[in-house]
Amino acid sequence: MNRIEVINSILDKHQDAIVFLSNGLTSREAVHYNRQDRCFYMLHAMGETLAVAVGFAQCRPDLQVVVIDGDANALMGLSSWNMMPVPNIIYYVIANGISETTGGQQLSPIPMRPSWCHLLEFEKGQQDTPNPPQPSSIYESTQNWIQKHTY
Amino acid sequence: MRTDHKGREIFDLKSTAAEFAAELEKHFNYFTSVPDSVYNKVLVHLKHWEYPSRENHAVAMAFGAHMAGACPCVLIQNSGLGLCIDALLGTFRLYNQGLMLVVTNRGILKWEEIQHHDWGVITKDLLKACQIPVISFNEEGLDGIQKAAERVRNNEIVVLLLERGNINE
Repeated sequence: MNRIEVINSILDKHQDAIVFLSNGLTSREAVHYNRQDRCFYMLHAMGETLAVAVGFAQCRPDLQVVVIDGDANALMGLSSWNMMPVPNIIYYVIANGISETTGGQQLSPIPMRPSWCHLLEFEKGQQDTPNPPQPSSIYESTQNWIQKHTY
Repeated sequence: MRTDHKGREIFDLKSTAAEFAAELEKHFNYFTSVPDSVYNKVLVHLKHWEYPSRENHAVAMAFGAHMAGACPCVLIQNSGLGLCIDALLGTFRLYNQGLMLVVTNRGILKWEEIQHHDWGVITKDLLKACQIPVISFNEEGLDGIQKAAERVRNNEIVVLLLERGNINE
């Protein structure tokens, strides 16, 4: 599978969840090929996607929260793993072993694999995508979805 | 200025740690902190707070909580600014949302240990460079928390700066 195929497979599997996607090609391809209001596309703050999701999940235990982290992002965010597991978070690392957003530099492997970390490998290669939408547009779309799912 | 029980010069007491925590809880309901010794007696008075391993994660968790509708507040030492600025700019600033950070201004008193001194020198200039407004707890006291909370509601990132001695440790 390529990047967008593996992302779509996760989205299909968790159709009622709010989804946090890490910055770089993960968010960039996801928002271009399959934009959804329930998805929050990180545009920066590399390594922080899981921590953002933890804060969200702690305040909304009624929602299922999915994280899709690229492997370079996951490596940067390893120091947030001590906040896991959080009962309503499902954490995926999608891995192709390189930092493709910055030119394909080789990564070290994820050094540990706790039971709550689901690692899905995918093929190297990127799609030609335009710049992502404005941050305000992304934030507003996700907020609209959250408001509709407030009980 | 006053002196502590060891005879060292410290800033004036502006509130007790209990009063400080109570005022925070009037305006905020989700706290993350990478503790500083100055917060020792504050944190025990908060009903609940989260302890991430690094200040950048404290900010990111606060952003997630904010997205969920909570009112977060982050308590860190000034050295933690060095870790959390990218997280701040890449979340709250980028998506135009507000946050209050309480930051202890370590390193400006001569007797403080040398590892704090650089941070004492650069903290205010660094925040200015980041275009983050500072409210001085030393000048404003507990009213400063109210003023900071108002700016947060206007989608600003704001720092409430605490000097050593402003609350009891």
